[in-house]
Amino acid sequence: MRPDDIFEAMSDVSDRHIEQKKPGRAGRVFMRFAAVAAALALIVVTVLPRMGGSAGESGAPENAEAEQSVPESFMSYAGAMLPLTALSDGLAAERSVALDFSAWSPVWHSIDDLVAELPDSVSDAERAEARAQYEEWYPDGGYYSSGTDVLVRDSYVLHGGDGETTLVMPFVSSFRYLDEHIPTLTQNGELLAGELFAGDLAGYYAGEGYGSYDYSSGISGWSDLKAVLSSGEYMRSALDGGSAVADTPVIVYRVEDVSVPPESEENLNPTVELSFTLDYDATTVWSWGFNGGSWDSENGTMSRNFSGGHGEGYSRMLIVMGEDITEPVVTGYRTGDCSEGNELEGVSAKVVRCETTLGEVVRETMIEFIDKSAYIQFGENDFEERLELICSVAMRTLERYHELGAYIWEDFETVYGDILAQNRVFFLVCETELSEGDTVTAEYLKDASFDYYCAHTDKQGVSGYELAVSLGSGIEMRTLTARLENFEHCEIAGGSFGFDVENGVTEVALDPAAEVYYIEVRRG
Amino acid sequence: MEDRDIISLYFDRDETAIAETDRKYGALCRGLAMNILGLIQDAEECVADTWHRTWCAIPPQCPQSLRCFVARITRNLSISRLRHDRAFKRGGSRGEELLSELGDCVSDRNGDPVAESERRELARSIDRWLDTLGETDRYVFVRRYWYGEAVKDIASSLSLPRCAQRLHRLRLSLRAHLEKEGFSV
Repeated sequence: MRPDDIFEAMSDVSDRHIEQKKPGRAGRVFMRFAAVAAALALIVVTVLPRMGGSAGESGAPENAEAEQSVPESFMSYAGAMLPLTALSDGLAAERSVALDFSAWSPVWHSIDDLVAELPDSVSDAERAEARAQYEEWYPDGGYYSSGTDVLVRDSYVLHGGDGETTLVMPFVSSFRYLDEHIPTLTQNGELLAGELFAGDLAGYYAGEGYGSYDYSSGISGWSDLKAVLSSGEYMRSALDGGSAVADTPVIVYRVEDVSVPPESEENLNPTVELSFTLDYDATTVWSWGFNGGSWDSENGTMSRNFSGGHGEGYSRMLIVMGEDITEPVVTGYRTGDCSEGNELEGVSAKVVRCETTLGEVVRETMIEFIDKSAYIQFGENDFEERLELICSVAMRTLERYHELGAYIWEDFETVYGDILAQNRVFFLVCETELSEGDTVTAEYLKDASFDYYCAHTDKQGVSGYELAVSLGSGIEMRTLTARLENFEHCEIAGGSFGFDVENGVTEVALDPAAEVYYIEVRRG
Repeated sequence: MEDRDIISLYFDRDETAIAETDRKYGALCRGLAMNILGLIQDAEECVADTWHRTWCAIPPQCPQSLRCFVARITRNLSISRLRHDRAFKRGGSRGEELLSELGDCVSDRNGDPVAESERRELARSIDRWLDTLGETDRYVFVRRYWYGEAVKDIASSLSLPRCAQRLHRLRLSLRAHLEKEGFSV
């Protein structure tokens, strides 16, 4: 069967499906439904632990079916707290999760503190000016601030794992905010050294390639997490790194010694265009340092251009994957309108062809991208390690684009921006010797899911957190408990854990066979 | 004008039937053809052909839903045109996007084509699968793969987040359904 068959057979589906009326406002209906479901789940789960024993007592509620789903209504999704896993079978665990909300406690920032925090380079006069400004802004002498992160301590008492074991702690983050989210993994209180690996973007993984408007999507909801982690393929691909594609041969056309006439009233934006021919079915052409271009797949031609009077010091290249293109022809234009009649004399550039590997060209351009963009900053110590991680993801992404076999108008810069900014799942991998009953704890800050303030939704001011019970984990969860700590500045707005803070239920036994639990919190 | 009145005009062989059909369903059919072909000239030709086919088909046919009847003709004509374009390597249309996405429903995008006799059974199977979906999922899938509407437009019209992911899951669900019903995907 081919996709065409399904597309064509669709013509013959029943009239009732073709004529279906637009449903009511799905998003809102869903949110209302979710709110009801959350309320029901809260009732069910708060009652059940009490029926089975006191809160905090080990043992699963008798009926956890009501807590299986989570509302996917937050505009900014931070991802769930994910369970520990191992690369070997046979491990079981008693899992306990502590959610520490101490970051929600207000912290006072006095004007004195603010002035003292100004860099040493600020002069006394500037310091005085800043103080005056602060006094105008904060007539009370300062301000309170507080966060919405939760400090998570996710502990596992492990059984059945005598000997050398590879533990893997997955977590959701982006390269941009990675440092804030990396878990600390300890075994019986001793720090475990680990190596970081990064999964692909959810959209790429799901094959949402050419033609999909969010091909570069990150993880935007629980269902995305399920989609990428359920089978284990996503993790395997991440742990393989990018080495498999690093040696992929590519052809690079570097543009050097660019010379254009100065800008003038006639030549508003002297532009350099490289035009060439290619086989669209066999070639993917990426650009680096270019501003625009055109393509004509019917005639097998393509061009890329850049503003010749700008971007001095930037490298510019075409990166060809697959079959080679014809030698690019350089043409100058008066403006970015690279059409006949707008040509400009006196433009020249040298185009140097070389054969290299995907790994080499990605490393070179990624260093330049990081250096010249404000997307991400590394400490000097982990620069090489972090760069290697980012490049491995970039290589897999570019290779995947090429594999999709459809022409995509893209430049490296756009892809790199997506790679660094979007959420993905990272994996902290630790080799260790396990003994029966060892306790492994992952501690990390978990940021909240939320709706944007200006959107004025009914979730305004609400922070959401999800706990994945066993998603993607090969460890059998025998028991699961969850505990709230330092919750005095918060109140529960919804959820499925079954906490009842007013009545002192801040620790609950959960169903280890459930899929996910969630809690929604607002400032109390 | 009501559909039954327009159909009466066809039965009376009154050529104003075509103008009335165009007035009522022209935008729908042009949009549908544009969604698949991406070129206004091609879309216009498909719509003109649709009116001709409709004129020839009614009578003897007497469609229950004129809307579905003409839209289905437009869709089939657009697919024929798309097939022709692909044969001549004129890629890049919206139809190509749709076919690319529907590749998720099959294991081999270049597999053997379904026999003509099997295609109707395939449609019935898709019908049954659509019946199992919730209202929103069904609407989203039909708008995307029947009408060829852009994902962002569907998402926007329903205020629906993560529409592309929803479609992806639906495609995988359809594939599982077809496998279960014995189709070799």
